[in-house]
Amino acid sequence: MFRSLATAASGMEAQQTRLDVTANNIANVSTNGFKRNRAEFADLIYQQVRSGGSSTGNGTTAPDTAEVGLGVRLAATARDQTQGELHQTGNPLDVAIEGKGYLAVQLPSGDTAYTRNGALHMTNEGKLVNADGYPLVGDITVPTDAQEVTIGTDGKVSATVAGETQQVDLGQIQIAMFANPAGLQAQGSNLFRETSASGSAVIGNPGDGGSGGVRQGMLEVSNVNTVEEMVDLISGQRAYEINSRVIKAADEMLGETAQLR
Amino acid sequence: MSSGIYIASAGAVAQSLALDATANNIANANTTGYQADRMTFKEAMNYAKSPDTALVGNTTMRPDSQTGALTSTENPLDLAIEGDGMFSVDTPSGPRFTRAGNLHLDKDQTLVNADGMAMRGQGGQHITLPIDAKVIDISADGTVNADGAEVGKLELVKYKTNQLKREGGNLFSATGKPDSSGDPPTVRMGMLESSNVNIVRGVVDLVKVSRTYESLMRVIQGYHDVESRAARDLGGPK
Repeated sequence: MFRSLATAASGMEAQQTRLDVTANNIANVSTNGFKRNRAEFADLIYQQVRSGGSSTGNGTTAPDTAEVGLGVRLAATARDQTQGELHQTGNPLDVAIEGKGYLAVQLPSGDTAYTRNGALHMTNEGKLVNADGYPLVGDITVPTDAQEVTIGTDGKVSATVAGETQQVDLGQIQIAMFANPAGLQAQGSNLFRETSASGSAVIGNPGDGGSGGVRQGMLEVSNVNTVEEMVDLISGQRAYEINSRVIKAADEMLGETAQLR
Repeated sequence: MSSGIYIASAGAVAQSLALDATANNIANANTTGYQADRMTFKEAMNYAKSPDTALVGNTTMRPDSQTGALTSTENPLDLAIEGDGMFSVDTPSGPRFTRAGNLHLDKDQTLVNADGMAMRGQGGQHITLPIDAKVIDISADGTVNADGAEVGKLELVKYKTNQLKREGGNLFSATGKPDSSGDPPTVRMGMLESSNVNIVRGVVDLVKVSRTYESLMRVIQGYHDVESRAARDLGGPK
């Protein structure tokens, strides 16, 4: 049977994966702190029909090899780490990281997860948590009588309290840095976990060790570019279609062969 | 038996090989840095005794070395080579070469390819970025700068297409010495070279291959009919 049947199937599968990645990017176009993914492909191994330099008789050697490739595979889904736009929200509990790094939150299991989504909330006890209610690492609690919460670019959280002239220091937001943030494992809910590929988290204050500063009253929006995604969608769909035509051609050729007798 | 039926079947085998090559080109229409395979057939056995025997054979394939379209990604670790040249990658079986410049960082901040194999710097050194690097800049000659300080230089090589052998994973192995004549390769940062597969050409090839195959099947069928008629009309006692 023709190799092309399996080759074209691998091509269709690759385009399908690309479509899946694109669909997820488009679905998350308004997710704060979302980083777009990109499917990267690599060709599969080659089957040698004739090796280069082999004798072609008459004292000559073949200048080129004859080798047939067996298709394509997914090599990586790379996360585009570029900064998303910062949108002003005016909410004092919204923080955006301008530059590299992640906020760390404590999961109920005791593990730490990392996020770029800085839309913080307050529990009934005044504890700073993310949208899913996971507390920020470093346990920052805003007293109930606090009037105005300020978060500095260095991550320092302070508040003015009724009857006091001095601001009260509430704690410090820290930033986790990774050698290879692309190696983080996506958990959903804007959360990531460290892996052996990402390296372990280096925790520091915002602005230290190459990490970004935090901006109060801002949120980092998704870095998905809808135009780019639409172009990907169209070219992925067409490539899928053409791969399926290869299967049809191979099928027709096999049909022709089967008719011989 | 007439020898024509063998000529037609050799042709059909060659066309099925061409179909496989076309299928691989189309499957890799979105593979970064992929170079399409071009197939050429030659006459074989033109020294054979019978003058009507001209089997097709001696297929050769050569990567199409045209540069694919460069698309802007604005990612500093996406590199494209303009014109000739390749990046070097350290693999477990020795240095390999690629035109795919979608680089990544590993857990030690070393530059690697999409499969995690380290990119070779000049002299075979790997290139590691400092963890606090803010601005990465890669110049046209492959020099990697982090915050203005040089941290290494990517090894760029030129080989002729007939020195290269495809290995899969966007990699080529090479025999012989790299070609050091002419201008050194030029690197463009924030760009990726798309596959140079021309999808229109792919579809045309597909139609051509399947029609040629169909005609050859007709030829085989023709010989079959002639010979079965001969066997019926001439063979055996009446």
